[in-house]
Amino acid sequence: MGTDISPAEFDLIVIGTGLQESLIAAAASKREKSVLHLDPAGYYGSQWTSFQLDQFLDWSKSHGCDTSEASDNGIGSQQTSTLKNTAEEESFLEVPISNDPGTYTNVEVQRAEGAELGPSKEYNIDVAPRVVHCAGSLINALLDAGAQNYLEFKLLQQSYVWREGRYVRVPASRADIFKDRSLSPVDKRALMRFLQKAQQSFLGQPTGLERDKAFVEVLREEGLAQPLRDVIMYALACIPSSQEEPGLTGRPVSAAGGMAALARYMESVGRYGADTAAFLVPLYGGGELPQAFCRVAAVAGALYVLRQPVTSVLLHPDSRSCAGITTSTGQVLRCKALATSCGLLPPLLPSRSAQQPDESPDESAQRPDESPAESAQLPYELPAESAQQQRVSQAVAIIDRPLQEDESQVLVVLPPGAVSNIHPVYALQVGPATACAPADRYLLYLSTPAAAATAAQDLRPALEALVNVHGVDCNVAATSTKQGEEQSGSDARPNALLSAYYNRVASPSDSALQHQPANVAVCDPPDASIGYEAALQGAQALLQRLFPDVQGEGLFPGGSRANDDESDEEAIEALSEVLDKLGTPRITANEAV
Amino acid sequence: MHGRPRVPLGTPEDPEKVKASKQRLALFSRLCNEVLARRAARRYDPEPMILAAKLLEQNPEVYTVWNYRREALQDTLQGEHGSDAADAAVKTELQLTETALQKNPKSYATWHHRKWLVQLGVVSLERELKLVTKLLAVDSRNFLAWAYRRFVVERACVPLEDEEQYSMECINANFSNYSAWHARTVLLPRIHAAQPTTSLADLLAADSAPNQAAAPGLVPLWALGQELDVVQQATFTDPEDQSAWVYHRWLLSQLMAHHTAQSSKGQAALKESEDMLNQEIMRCEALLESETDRSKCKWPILTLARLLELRGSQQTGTGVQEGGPDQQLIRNLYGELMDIDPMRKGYYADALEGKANVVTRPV
Repeated sequence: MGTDISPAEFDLIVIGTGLQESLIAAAASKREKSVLHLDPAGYYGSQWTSFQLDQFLDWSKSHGCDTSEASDNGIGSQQTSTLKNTAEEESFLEVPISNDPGTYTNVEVQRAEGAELGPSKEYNIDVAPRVVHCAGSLINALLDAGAQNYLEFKLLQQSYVWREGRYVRVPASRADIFKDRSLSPVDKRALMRFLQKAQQSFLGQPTGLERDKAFVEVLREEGLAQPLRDVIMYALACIPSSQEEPGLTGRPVSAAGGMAALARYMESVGRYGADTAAFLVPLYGGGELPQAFCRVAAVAGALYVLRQPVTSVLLHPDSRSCAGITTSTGQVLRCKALATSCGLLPPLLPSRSAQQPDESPDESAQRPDESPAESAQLPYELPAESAQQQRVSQAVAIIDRPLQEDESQVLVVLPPGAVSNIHPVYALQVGPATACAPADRYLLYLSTPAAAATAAQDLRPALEALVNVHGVDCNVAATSTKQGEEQSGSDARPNALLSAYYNRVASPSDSALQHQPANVAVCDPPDASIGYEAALQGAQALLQRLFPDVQGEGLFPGGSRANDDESDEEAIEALSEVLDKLGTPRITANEAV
Repeated sequence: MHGRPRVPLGTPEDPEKVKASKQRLALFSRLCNEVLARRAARRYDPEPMILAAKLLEQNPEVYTVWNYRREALQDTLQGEHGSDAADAAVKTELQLTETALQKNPKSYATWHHRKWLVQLGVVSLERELKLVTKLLAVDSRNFLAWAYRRFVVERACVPLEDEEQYSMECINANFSNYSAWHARTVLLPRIHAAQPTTSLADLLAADSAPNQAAAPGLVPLWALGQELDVVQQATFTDPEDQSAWVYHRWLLSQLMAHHTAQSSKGQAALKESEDMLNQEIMRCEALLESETDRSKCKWPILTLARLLELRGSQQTGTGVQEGGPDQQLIRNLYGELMDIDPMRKGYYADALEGKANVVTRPV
């Protein structure tokens, strides 16, 4: 039995240290709520974490035998509620919670025999890799919260589209479009005109756009050919699922949603220096981001306890709103509101009919009313049926040299059909320059919405297109690759020294969205996109759910952005110093302020 | 300096800020008076120089104080070269101007002071070139830095080709750069006239020997073709950006000069420049065809009108043929321009009567 946590009552208890959890903890702490932030694990980040190599291998081993579809069977279906009497003679309904969310499936790891991977500690392997929009909500939240001081970033150096077996540079900015001689002048015009339109619509100027029309339809009407449509939809707007036949399932992204995503991209280009890329990559991996917000929360007074499993949630027997939790040490901790990582809680409200009238089954109705412009911020809708949880196929490979010479941080987009893939595959490479891998080693992350039975089936063709995987899972790896190189002479692809595949949950389960009391927020897992926009929007909505009094404000109120105007104070100080030395009378009639 | 949002009119001022800036102003004017009083007294000892430096660090725009420093330094610097005192003085001035330029990279007085130092021949030109390149990387449209760059390049005898390449790099980074395009209008004729001698120093030497004079000449047609291609990339990327169109107009003046120079050599010799002109007409037409909103097409419309005028004068030697198909077209185009750009209505009316310069005058 460990030491009890004191005090035992909080405005907010947060379980799990993922990005949304940490944002909510920081936002509440900064508003002077008392916050307890727990994590059953010994590391920060939950499903947003970055692992060292050994940790990653342990993690994959612990999920290795799990080959079944984790179709929510473990969670909540067999919940046994008991009545618990606390010291204060109050009785609560006690609902046990799961500390193993079963988020990851189909984990496979292949390691090249005798491959030198280097020191484990120098790896930071993201479980849910993504890039940061320079002008996205995450950067704004970092600045508003004052968390920017805890982080360092590097710019993504180049984006490519994989077309007919070759890397094609993405014309990512006005200067790129001007320079790119592979685009015909007419294509240039069409592309630029469309990007300008996106900016106009972002600024609220009329564009004559039908907002509800499919984004891809608008692109077609603008006379943009397939290769340009691919660039706009997948490389610039970063839409994670296929928008055209045959891969299109479900509703395609709307014009308004696509334009908003495009406008965010355009805003991001050049924010950190003339003609610089739209994306940033954090040093030491994406796991640093939730940690930075945890630090903000801690500085504002939140209490942090890692390695603290939670066994149950306590509900008021009548209202069924959350009253607190029980830790694995048996301590009862009271709270006014609870936020958890996804997959931990069973549905706490048994059936929707019995509930308060404001508990609508429709998730969007639970969240505050969104204006069309706001809802347009979240254009992503994955093809999976709404009843099912969306899943993403991920792969990570450790490679022995960068995909492109001298380029450490690179994004490659493989549009649908590029390598017989149904949905776009996003390949993100990071390396020693962002402290994610040791010298001469690089990480290549691949992600795509799950379409086949396993992540390996979804992603192996894409990985094989970009890197030489023959060294992997072959006993005579070292010699065979050498021979292969001599034979083909010019395989420019880097070699994969290790590759891992897994599926992960990318959307909240139904039980997470519905059937929870109003003072409970279940955070979303990392979504299927390669950005942070959905996560930030979601965090804001969840914060408002827990604390209706913060309605309308941003995550972090009154964010004081650094003012780069030269300060009068400095000038006054410098001038006073000079004049003091002269010993002239300090104030004359004229100077009196 | 560019791209900063304007504070909307009528935004209430922060009283704290108003108070602070008033106090700052009071202190600054007092320092100013102190320094100017010392100048009136012709004091050139170190104390007023330190005060002057502090003043210029706060505001480099008080050119009288720069003059004061030059007066004070004249004897030290123009005396014997290489003395320790002179070296130290140069170092101080370089540092001071650098600090001032960080504060305001568009201060005429500061650039002038630095130029004065360089003209004394006591400054490393290589370092100056690096400095100005750095400043232009921060703001590639700083025309004061461009002017200083031309000055340094001439003194340092930098090959013209290097500068031509540099201007292209600037354009590739952001083609909305009048200075970079302008640099090409200066460099290209010199490069093509100066061959095989290529540096400006050689040119200047050649100038002093009139027999070998290599005056800036016409850019050959093949090179003009390349430039027109670059301009097309820019105008199709952003037809509303004026900078490339201004350069285009200069290229047309070169094209026309070729035509005039070849006119005595018969029809065959003229064909190449006529073909290039027709190609430009077709490019403008293609650009206009792809636009649905003609109100945003001022530049392609105006250029097309000018191109048609040029074709007319190529064909007849005098001007657009009366009553010909082009004449009506040109009238329509200028008429359209009066509608979409009413601020320059008078100019277009003059152009209709043939009173406007169609191309920039040949250099």
